[in-house]
Amino acid sequence: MTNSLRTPLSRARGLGSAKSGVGHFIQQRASAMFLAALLPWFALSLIINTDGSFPSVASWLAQSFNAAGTLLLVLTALFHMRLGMQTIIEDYIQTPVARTLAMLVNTAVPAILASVAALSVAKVFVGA
Amino acid sequence: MSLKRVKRFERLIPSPPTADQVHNPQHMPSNIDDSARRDHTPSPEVGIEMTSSNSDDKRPLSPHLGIWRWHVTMATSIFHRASGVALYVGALILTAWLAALAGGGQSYGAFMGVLQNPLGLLVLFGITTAACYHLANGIRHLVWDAGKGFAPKTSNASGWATIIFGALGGVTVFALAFLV
Repeated sequence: MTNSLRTPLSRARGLGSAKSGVGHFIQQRASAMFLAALLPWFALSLIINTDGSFPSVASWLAQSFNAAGTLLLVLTALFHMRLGMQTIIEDYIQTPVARTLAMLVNTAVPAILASVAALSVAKVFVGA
Repeated sequence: MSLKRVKRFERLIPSPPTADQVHNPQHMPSNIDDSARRDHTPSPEVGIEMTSSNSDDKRPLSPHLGIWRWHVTMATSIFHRASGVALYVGALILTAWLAALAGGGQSYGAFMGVLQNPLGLLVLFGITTAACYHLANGIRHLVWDAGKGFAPKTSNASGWATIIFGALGGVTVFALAFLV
């Protein structure tokens, strides 16, 4: 190796990280912190303020604070969930085709759930 | 594999042998036990292919479940991943619940009927427990990210605390939901 004319830097270039790991790490932690506040609020607020029946839950979600909080919870959770599942896919699925397919599914599922949840919250909120 | 590459492996053992010793492992210093010799010393016939899988290679690679003795920090790590996967299903149920709510009283009633039969309640209880556990262990991870709580005694204690919090949390949330 020492006989090579290439510099150590030139040999190391291109062999390192994919350059996006830090962003993934920080996004995972940031969304975790918001979820640590949003999830307990959601569960406790629903338990305390509703009896689980349709009229009580619908009127709870028709309030702007609750609608916004619920929407934020679902979107943050889906974002966090996608990052976590991505890590699992990268850990366990080695075949390039299977891995790409799993990644695509892991993008589609949260996107579909986010659309359904957002439209549902909006519908109950405006009382349509 | 080049001789110099082999020498890099040899640095892993206490006293680096000379280039001559690399090709004559029987001349290895006697203060190294057999396992170290087997793990790091390329014998002439395998020296060419160090990377091929060797059944004699007993080096621990990663915490494979069948090899490692279970301990609490390992269990909390595995539970964290498992509860995360369970919460993927939880997100599915939460979204379906919102869609049923948006669909009106009839669809909401039908969906709650499914959730409230014994199997539905069992799934719901499992997801609630997973959420409580994942929340507690997630906070444990955030503390670790801040550079604190790594001492074995501390991480073992916080590991047991998250397991207990998860179990008690599931029961508490269900008790609140049915009593309040």
